[in-house]
Amino acid sequence: MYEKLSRNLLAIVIAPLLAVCFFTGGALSPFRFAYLPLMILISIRLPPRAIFLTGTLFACGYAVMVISNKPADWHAMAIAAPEFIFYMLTAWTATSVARTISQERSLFQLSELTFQGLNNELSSRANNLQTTLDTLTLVHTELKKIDRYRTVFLGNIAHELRTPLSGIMAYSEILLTYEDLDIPSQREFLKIINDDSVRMTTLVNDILNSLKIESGNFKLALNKVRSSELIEECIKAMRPMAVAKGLTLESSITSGSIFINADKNQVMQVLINLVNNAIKYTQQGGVTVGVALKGRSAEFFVIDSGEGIFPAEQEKIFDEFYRVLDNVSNRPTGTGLGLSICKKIVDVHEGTIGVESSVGKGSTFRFTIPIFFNEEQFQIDEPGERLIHQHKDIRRILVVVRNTVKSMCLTKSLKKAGYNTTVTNSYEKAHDLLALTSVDLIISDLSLTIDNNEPLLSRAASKMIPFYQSYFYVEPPEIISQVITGYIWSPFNPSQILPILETLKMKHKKISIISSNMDESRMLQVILGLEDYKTELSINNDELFPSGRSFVPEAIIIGTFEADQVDGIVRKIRSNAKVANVPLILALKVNPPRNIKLITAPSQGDRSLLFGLSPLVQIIEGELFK
Amino acid sequence: MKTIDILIADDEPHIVRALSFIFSKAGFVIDTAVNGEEALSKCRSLTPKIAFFDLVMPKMDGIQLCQLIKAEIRQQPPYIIILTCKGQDIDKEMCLKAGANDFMAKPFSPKEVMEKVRFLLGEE
Repeated sequence: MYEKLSRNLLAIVIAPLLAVCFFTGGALSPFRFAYLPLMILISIRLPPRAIFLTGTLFACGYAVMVISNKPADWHAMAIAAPEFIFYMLTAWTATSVARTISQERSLFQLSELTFQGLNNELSSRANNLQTTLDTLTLVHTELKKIDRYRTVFLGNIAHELRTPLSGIMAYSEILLTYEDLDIPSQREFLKIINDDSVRMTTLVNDILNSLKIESGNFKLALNKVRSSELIEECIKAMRPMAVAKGLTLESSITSGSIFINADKNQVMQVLINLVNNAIKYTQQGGVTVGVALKGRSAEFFVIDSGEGIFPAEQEKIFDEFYRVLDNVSNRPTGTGLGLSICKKIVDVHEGTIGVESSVGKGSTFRFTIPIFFNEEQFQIDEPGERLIHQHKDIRRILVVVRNTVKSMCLTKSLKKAGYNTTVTNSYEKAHDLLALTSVDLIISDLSLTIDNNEPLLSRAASKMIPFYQSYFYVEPPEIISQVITGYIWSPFNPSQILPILETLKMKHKKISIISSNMDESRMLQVILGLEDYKTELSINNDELFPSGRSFVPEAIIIGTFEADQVDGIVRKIRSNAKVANVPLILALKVNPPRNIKLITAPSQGDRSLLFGLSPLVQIIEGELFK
Repeated sequence: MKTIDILIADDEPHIVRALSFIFSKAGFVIDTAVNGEEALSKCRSLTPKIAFFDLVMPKMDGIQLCQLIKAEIRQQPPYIIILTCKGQDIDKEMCLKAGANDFMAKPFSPKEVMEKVRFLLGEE
């Protein structure tokens, strides 16, 4: 307002100027020359129209003064006329100047904005480049590290092979050269040749095994395996080695029958490898092998009373090709592959492996394998199977879920459907994985939305990978039921909710709305009420069905809650017999960006089907083959 | 003081056994050592004519051993043959500088070893 006033002040000054001119000699007042500088000043500050008006006002004022001074004096008027014209011209010129200035000004502002915009664009591109650069640097460092190890590894292999080889060569030549060799010596040398051959074979097998696991050409034959059986077999196989060194080898099995879902040969290999190491690095005392139930996994452990492992090395020993030095010969021992193979096997089973150790006191190696549960639940229903047979191509799918049971269910079903599926349990790992390889589809569990999925989303977007978010709810292994039926997202759009409800054939039926947000639930109620749905509201998750028996909903909409509360609410609903099979629709607070699709999975009413898998498969097929 | 013809020092028992066998069969008097320290002391006490040393041994490696022997044993030092796995030029230069006389790469052929030994000891 102050601005405006100061601007108009200049114009306002013109009027008093006129008055002054009038009262100090009228048309011949000396003050009339003040007009010119004033107009110049004004042209800088005022809009063109105001200037023109001001100038015109003055000129007319001047004319009036001339006429009023000497009415009907044509001579005087003739003299004043040029001055009048001059004043008008000045007004017009000032207006033009003002117009030009204001045009320039707006052009300038425009280019300022453009500049800003370009600047921002540049910054964001620079940021993207930086992110890419960071990822590449990371990948590069990793690759260099692996390359370094591999060079050392190849060198070690050659060395390791040459030693048994020299034995074989020397003794075979001796046997050939000395014809009169006595039998005991002959047998001794032949045994050495045989031992060395075995040693080389083991080495070669280790290498091949490691390569096989690494290349992914590795089929896991999962079965129901009794873990106590594995331990007993392992101990039986390794006992001679322990006895030869004077060590004890015992088992420690706390619970009777823990069944794991595993490839027996692979897990056996891990156990044997760990026990082998334990015996190798223990000079006195003994080794204990055992298993115990830990959550939803079986935890195997191998405890030895050996020389222990330095803290600095404890992290590295699972690295490929890393070898600890034998503290007698100061030569690296083994191939460096044993523990990395163990880790790979355990990873593929979706378990974890680790070590605790103190130097001089001994080490404990532990690894977990998920427990087994009922195979029947992995059936795919008939329509789903038909569809799968139509599309034989195998595609790569990346699944991001946190819970092992969920991931196993989903992965198994997808793999059975013929998809090459990879699972990670965090957005970070998925993001890193996408840096190294590519997939055709990403499915993520919504319970992970607490974590930051921004980097993964943007990477998926930049690689144009369709991203599906779904909510998979799984109960303990005994009861697995599909729970979430559909999704809607706020701000609520009637055109989105209604078709879902119609598909579920919920028209005119009773809907229960559970939400912690009053506005949201009211809005839903209104939208639904207009369409003749009967609704009931529940504001908190303690009292899900306030009207009790009188209002049994035929569908339930769950509004926005914190992600970890939803689990509890869903569990409560499903454990309530009256509504256990009712379709559930989950509302999402997050407005998903364009490239995220939410899976709607209409209820099958078939308990043996997980997560409405058949529709899920249909949607995936639709997405991949459109 | 007992003197022997050949000393064999290597931490790989198979190598030692093979070489000992070949040389004993040929009638030479031999002794063995499993590490650098033992090799040094036996060189001092038994003054072998030929000594086979592995390049990589615990307690003292082949090169260090050569240097010490060349420094200590002035009169009739043993003819030192280094058993190597690598066979790289760099190693050879280092060994020769340290005082080694010859090289033999593992895996070796017993026949070749015998030929060399006979040649060396035949001359003397």
